[in-house]
Amino acid sequence: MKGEFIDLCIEKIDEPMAKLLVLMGYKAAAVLEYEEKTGRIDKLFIIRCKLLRSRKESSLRKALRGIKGEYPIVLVEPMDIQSARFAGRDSRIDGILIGEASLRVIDRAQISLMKQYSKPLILPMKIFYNMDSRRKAMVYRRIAYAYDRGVNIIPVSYASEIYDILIPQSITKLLEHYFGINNRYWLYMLTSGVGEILVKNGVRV
Amino acid sequence: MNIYEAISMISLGLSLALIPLIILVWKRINRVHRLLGVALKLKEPQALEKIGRIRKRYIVFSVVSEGKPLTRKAIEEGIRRAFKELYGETILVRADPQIVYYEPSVKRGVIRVAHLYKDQMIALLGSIKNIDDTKVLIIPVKTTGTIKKARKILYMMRRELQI
Repeated sequence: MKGEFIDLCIEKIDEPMAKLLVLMGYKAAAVLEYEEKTGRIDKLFIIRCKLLRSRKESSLRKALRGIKGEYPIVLVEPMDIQSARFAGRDSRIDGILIGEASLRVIDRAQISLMKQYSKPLILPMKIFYNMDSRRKAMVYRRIAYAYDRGVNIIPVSYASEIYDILIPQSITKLLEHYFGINNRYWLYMLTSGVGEILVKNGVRV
Repeated sequence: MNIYEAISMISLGLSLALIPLIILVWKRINRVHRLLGVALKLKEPQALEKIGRIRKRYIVFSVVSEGKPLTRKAIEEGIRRAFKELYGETILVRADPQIVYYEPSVKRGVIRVAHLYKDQMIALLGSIKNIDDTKVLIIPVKTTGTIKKARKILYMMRRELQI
């Protein structure tokens, strides 16, 4: 599986981190803090990515205006129902992030909407690791429902330093233990599942 | 017919008469023995589940850390603590993860675990972020069935993995 994995959301990246990602079998990564639209650091293809945290639908609409010209990947962490529903429908948004703030907003209706518009659910592992067991249980219920409805669940590292990156062999097994979903599913999501999003946005790795 | 012939005839007759009795008693004993055996056989699996042979797996790992180099003891304690936190003490006892070899200069080592818990161990290694207030990333590189092969892999590993 060398050179197949893609991380859809990394906060910051530097050269040692890119080097390690390449060694662990990553071919591309979407980075929040990156100057160019696309680029390369030591064989790793970098894509500029934007994460929007919205409290109001109007502000989200405003932020999304002309965003695809600058950022090929756009993710949203909705903090209220209206912006969550809007994010679920809008074609400029590539995924909805499930974090501490958006946990309450992502309900059954939201997941059904995401299923209808083929919108994936993004699971940031750095945030998930730091949650308490009660929050983790809330995430588990949402993940189980999304999986049951056929919504794609994409694990991302959301790494800001080298210690936060995802080790593909470990993370697929860990998620299997946490959510009871076969590790092949997670392997698919880390490779082809993310690849489909890049292809949809016209990014060639 | 003299007296000796009479005695021998009587003893022959008696022994012939006793044969069915002996067979009857033998059958009874056999039946009791069989019943006891069945009872014992039924009891055994209920009392103790068959464990089978506990085989070992050797996981070659590499450590990425900052600051002072971590000792073998610190890493093993960190792994055991994390294992207990994630899977509980009962699984920890069964898995019994031990660092059998660790080279601090190159930050590589071999961890031994029961074969049934190999996947749990690999899953855990990637999730350990902190040992003794030092940020770490433990990368499982390869799993083998013998320590000899694990050591071979350890020395064959490319140097680039060291950051």
